[in-house]
Amino acid sequence: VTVTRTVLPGLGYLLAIGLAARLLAAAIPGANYLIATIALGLVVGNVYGVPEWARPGVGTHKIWLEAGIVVMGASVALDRVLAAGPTILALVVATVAVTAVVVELLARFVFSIDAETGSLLAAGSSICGVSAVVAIAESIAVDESQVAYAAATVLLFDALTLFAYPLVGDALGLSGTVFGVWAGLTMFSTGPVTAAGFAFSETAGEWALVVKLARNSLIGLAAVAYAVYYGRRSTGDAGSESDAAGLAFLWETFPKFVLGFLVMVVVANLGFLSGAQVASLSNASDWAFLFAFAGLGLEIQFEDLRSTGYRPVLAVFTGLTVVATSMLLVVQALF
Amino acid sequence: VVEDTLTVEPIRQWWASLDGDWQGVCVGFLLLAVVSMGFPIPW
Repeated sequence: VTVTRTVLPGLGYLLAIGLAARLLAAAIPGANYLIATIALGLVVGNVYGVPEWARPGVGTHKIWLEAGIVVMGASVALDRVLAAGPTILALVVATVAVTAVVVELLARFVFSIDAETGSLLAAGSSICGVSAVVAIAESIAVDESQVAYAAATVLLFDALTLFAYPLVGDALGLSGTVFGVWAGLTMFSTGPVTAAGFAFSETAGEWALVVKLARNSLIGLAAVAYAVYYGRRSTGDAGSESDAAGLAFLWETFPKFVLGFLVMVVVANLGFLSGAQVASLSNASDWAFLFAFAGLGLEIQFEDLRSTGYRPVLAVFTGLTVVATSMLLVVQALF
Repeated sequence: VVEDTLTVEPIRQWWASLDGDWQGVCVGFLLLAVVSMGFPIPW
């Protein structure tokens, strides 16, 4: 009962922002309600702030994003994903590796950023935004300020790409599939990828999610690779014990909602759900995203973004431009 | 109070012990359960 009483006011706050944004988007030609929800949350959060009574409820926005993604699995056609699977997988691994290397090299040799911050920026750009920054930070022992610095840079680009990607996609007349795969491969955090994808089109949203979740799944491997690179893990006791510890670490860092999404894809594609039920689940994920994106917008604080510096911003901007442009050409050639 | 201890509190503790990712999965499958029981979710 207490939990409900603590969380409900904040959920009401998120709902009010989401519904207001939906009305606003309906009144403005060409506006998309997903982007409008984040934008309105961003304005309210920075001008008015989040009142104390709403904080616990607003804090649940990540749960709604993940629940929305899990439920969205019901709308994904497994045969299309399996047909494109090997290509997608190869693209994901290549993009993650290339982005990480490009950002690392730019950070160190062009913009003279310290090695640890460079690695955090590379992880945030290549895998899954802030959660990757935090996961890598745990495995390479950096201080709090470096994490905050890198996270602010990633958040800044999340905010920028969220608005820029759909505009670029529209300007270039990209198909839903090309836009979705491209956004899923090159944008940073899961929330903005989902919003930009579904803002572009339903097909784009589904592809963006599938590709982004494949990318998120690499987080544990990247964390292990960084840990090994920085030599912080014990190397002497290579045996079953350290193998088990490595597996436990991979499991710990693995984004579990990806499993929920996969189970939902399988359940829906085995024919357990009727067309009406799939439509209902798609509506349910729209509701979940409404809460998620209102909260996402509220939590982007301009004050936090200012704690980054011009060098990390330039390093990530150059890396993103290089990778996004080249991947767009590759994706257009393949899909 | 007795009822709270018997029913709500263990659920609250279990929920709090879940990793954030699993909470999202639980909410997702709760929605699946609701829909499977025949409750439509309108926009």
